[in-house]
Amino acid sequence: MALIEISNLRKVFRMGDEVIHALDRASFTIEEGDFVSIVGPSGCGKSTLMNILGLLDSPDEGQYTLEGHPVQTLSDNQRAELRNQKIGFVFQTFNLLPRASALRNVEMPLVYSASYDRSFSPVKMREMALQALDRVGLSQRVAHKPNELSGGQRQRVAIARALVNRPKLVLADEPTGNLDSKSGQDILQLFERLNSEGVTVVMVTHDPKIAERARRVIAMLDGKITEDRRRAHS
Amino acid sequence: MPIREILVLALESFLANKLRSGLTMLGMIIGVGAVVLLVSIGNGARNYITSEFEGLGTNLISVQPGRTDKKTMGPPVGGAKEKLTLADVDALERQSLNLEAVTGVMFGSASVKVGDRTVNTSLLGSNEQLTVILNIRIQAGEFFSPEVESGRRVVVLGFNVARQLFDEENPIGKLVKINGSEHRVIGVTAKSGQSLGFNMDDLTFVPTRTAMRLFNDDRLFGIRARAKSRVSVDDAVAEITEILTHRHNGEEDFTVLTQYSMLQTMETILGMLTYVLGGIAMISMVVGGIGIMNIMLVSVTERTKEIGIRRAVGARQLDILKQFLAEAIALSLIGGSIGLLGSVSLTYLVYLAAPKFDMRAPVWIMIPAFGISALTGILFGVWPARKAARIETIDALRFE
Repeated sequence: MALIEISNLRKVFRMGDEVIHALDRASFTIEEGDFVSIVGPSGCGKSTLMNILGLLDSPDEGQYTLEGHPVQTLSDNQRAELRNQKIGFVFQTFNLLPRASALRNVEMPLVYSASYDRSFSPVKMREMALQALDRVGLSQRVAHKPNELSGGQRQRVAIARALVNRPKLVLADEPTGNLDSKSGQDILQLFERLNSEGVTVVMVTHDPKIAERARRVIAMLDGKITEDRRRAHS
Repeated sequence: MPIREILVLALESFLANKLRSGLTMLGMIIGVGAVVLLVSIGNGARNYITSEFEGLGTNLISVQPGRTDKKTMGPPVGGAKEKLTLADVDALERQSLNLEAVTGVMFGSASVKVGDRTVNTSLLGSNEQLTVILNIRIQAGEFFSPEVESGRRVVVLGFNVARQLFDEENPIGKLVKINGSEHRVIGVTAKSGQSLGFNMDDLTFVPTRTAMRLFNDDRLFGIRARAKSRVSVDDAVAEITEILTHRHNGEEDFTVLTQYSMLQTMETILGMLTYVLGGIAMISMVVGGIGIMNIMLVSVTERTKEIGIRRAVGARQLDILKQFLAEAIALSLIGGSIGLLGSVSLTYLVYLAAPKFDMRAPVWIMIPAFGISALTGILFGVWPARKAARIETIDALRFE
């Protein structure tokens, strides 16, 4: 069973008189354990696609099935639960809480998991958060606040937050966009490693060079999928 | 989201904006403080007056000429027609079984003069039984004996009046001029102090008939009596009513008041006053609540991004609502507690400075003070919290 299956997704935005087709009959499937990049120029609809895959937004038309379950009919609460349990987000601007330490930032999703699973004690949360920080190589920086960390470290905190609940799917939206090339390379290596450990990674980028790091590249233009190819193993 | 986590978040946000939180809380501090203070003052006034009344003795019975209008509960209206006379007092003294003492009283102002010293005092005309009725103690000389009641020109000076006229000198046997006519001083009362804003030490006492002559009036100001015991007060009232009605040709043209009924009226009025004061203070709670709502709305807007992040990682609308509501409640509860603590301490300080007027906050005030501040937090926190919960995640994430 495919992890993600979308068919004929459509999403239209109106800006004044102009109608923008952010998604125009987009279809594909992503298997569990894959590393996929979605590439295209800005405004091609890749971010909209990402938001829909992450259950932050809904398509106007079309089907989206996550782990075999159609998501169109889900309530707001059920979507929140799926985001919490199955999906991890990594954003271009990190989106960390500025006043909270790295540890508190990583713990945050678990706080909401406690609503679904009563066994989440504060001690267990702390352990899981520390493990996640260790996984991204930041176990020495847990008490630092975001403004005390470098860009690359901040993004690693954000990745730890995405991983803390052991999601099936990690969605990354231009994860290297705000980083220097060295830090960007580190983050990409981290994604490759996580993928090799079994995490499904879907990464959106406008940079074809970065997109090439994925095992599969989906190219988009004006809301349509123009290319979908698997990179030959190098 | 576990309660513990909600509280931690509320506290974190509180500490992150100390100045703003402090200023917002000021509204609640003042609001709760005002409620507690005003209720305490009202309560203190009631306790003070109650104890003063009780000091006068609860066996005290007053008869005033004129009938009290039962509808308006207004004071007795003394018409020229309705009057109480010394014959009424005699009848009560002879016929009543439940009275320990009874006297007719005259009351008015008079100037008392010795040499070049003049004191303007209140003049109270009564018979010898007044000492029993009002617990008057004599320091020097004696009070009127039954024989002098006839209307001789004798006078008993209140403690302060004697001081003002004679300094340390012994006034017994001296002559004083009351409204121009000479009276001999036969006694001085012991110092009794203020009670109900009325100081017995400032009075001048003369026999009833003497007072009638001085005021040129044969109508009594009223009758004062003391029941034999607290339990016989009601019987005494019935008895007085019966005797006097009979004497007044079957017409009840007078009003019998007991200390107890006056006390009750007073308590009703003062109790009402306490509630009114408390109610006025509640307005400041509303103002405080609006302040909290205002800051919460600002906070929601400022933290739109945070709301987006939280929603993205799995917070439900309810979780966001709880978080912001908890913050509003925390603000108002902490503010309320400070206001409560401050105002209660203040009432204790006042008590230390002036123990006579005990306005220490009653213990029960904690319940409404906390309840109302929590309620204010909920009431004025719900709207901003709902607003926060309903922000679209995707818009919130884009918010800069």
